[in-house]
Amino acid sequence: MHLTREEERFLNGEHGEALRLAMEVLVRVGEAMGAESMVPISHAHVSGVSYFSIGDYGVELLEELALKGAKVRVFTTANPSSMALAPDFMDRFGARYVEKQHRIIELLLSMGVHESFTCIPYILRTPRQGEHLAWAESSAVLYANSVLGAYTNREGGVVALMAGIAGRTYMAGVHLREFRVPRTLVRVAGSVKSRVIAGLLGLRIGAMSSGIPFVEFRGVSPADMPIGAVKQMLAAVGTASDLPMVVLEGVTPGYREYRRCADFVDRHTIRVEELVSELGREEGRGDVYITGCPHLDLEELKELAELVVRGVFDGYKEIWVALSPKVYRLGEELGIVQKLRELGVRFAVGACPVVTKLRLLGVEAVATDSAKAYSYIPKISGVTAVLRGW
Amino acid sequence: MTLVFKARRVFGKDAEGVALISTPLSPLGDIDPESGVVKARDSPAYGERLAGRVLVMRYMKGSTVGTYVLYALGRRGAAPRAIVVERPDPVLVSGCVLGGITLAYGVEQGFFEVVRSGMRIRVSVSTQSVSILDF
Repeated sequence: MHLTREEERFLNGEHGEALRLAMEVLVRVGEAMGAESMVPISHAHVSGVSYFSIGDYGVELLEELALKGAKVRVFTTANPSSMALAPDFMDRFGARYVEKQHRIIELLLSMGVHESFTCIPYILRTPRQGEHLAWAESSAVLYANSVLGAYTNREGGVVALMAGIAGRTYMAGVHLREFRVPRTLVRVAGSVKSRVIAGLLGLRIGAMSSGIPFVEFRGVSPADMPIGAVKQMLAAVGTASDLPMVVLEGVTPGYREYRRCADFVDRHTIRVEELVSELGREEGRGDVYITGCPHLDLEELKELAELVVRGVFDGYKEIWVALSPKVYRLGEELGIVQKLRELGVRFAVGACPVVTKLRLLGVEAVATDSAKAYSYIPKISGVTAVLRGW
Repeated sequence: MTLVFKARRVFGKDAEGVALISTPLSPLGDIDPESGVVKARDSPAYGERLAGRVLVMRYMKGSTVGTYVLYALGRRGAAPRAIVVERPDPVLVSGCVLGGITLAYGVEQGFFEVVRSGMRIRVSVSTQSVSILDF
C-alpha cells in the first residue's frame, strides 16, 4: 500500500501509540481488502456502543485505547447506547449494566467522540456529495451512499473508531467508483405509501440483489416518498444484505449516470401488493410498541405525536420512542415531548431497544413499524415481534 | 519433508504449532472468549482449546463484535498461535492486529487440500509463507 509521508509517521509511532495502532489496523485491513492507498475522511461514525453488544471485552479495548491517549482527528459520532443509560429506563436495569454502559460512553467522549449517540448521524452533520466517510451502522451507510451521494463502506465498529483516530480509512470498496456500478435491476410495481411497506420492500431488495441494485419505481417515486419511509427501506436493505448502497431512481445523486454504466447480471420485479398481503398476514399483538429504528427525526416525531393524540396506539401497555438527544431537545422545546409523556409515551434518548436485552425490562412481545427491529429483536432479545405500521 | 505454501500476506510474529482444522467459526458464539475453547457443535474442532494451536479455516464468519472476542483471546493468552485462512475480512484482520494474533491469508489452495489436524505448521512472516513440517 502506498502511504503518504505523514501516514508513514503515524505508522512509525511518531505521533503516539494510539495513532500507531489505529494505522496498523487500517493498513492491515486495507491490504486485505485490496486497497492501494488510504483516503482522508471528513466524518467517522462508530458502532458497537451498547454494553450488551460489546461486553467487558469491548470496555477493555476502549480502556486500552484511552490509556494510550487515543483522540479522534476528525468529526466522529457514535451509535446509540443500550437503554440502560436512558433516563426513562435506567432504574429498570441493575447497577452493573448502568455503570458499564456509562463507562463506555465516558471512554468514547474522552477520545473526542461527539455527544451524538444516534444511528442517524447525518442530522448532526450532513455529508455532501462526494465526501469520503468511515461509517459503521449499516442503515446510516446506506443513507449516506444512496441518498447523499457520499462514499463509505460498511465499516466494522472498531475499524470506524480507528478511522476516526487516524482521520482516514483504506481506499477500497465503494470509495472507488468501479465498485459502485449497479449489477442488479429491481423494478417496483405499485406505489409504496407507508413506512412499514417501505421496510418490507427493503428486506426484499436486500435479499434478492446479488450486487448493488438499481431500483426503478413504476408508482410513486422515492423522491416523493416521505424521508422516514426511505430511511425504513434503506435500513431494511442493510438488514437483509451486506450491501452498502442502493441506487434509487430519482433520488441517488448521479442516478442517470449509474443507469448508463450499469452492468446488470440479474433483474427482478417486486409487486407492492405482495408486500401488502405479507403485512396483512401478520398476527398477534405486542405488549409494547417500539418505534425509532432508525431514530426518529423531528418531522417523524411530529407525525407520530399526532397519531398518538388520535389514539392510534391505544391498547399497547407502553409506547417507546427511540431518538437522538438532539431531536429529543428540539421536541422538548416544541412541547411535543411533554404532550407525549402525558399520553404515556417513554423515550429512549440516545439509546436503542434493538441492542438492549429487552427481557430485562419484562418484555415478551413487541410490535414495531421497523422491518429492521422486527428482524433483529427476536434474535437479540428472544422476544417475539410483530410488524404494525403507522 | 517440509511443504511450503505462499500466502498473500502473513503478519504478526513467526509462529509454529499443531494444526487445528475447523469449518468457518464466528468468534461471537462459536468460541469461548475466556478459555478459547471451540463451542460450535458442528465444527470438527468442537471442544478443542485454541491456545498453542494453528487454527485453519477457509474464512471466518460473523459480525463486528468478533473483533472484540479475538482481542480478548489475545489478552488472556487463550488465542491460537496463528490463524490461517483463505479469505480475510475486516473483522478477522482488525481482531488479529488488536489481539496480537499472527494471521496468514490468501494461502495457496494446495495447503487447504492436504492439511490435517495434528500436523505441525510453521507460519513465517519473513518468507510470507505457511509450511507443513514433517509431511
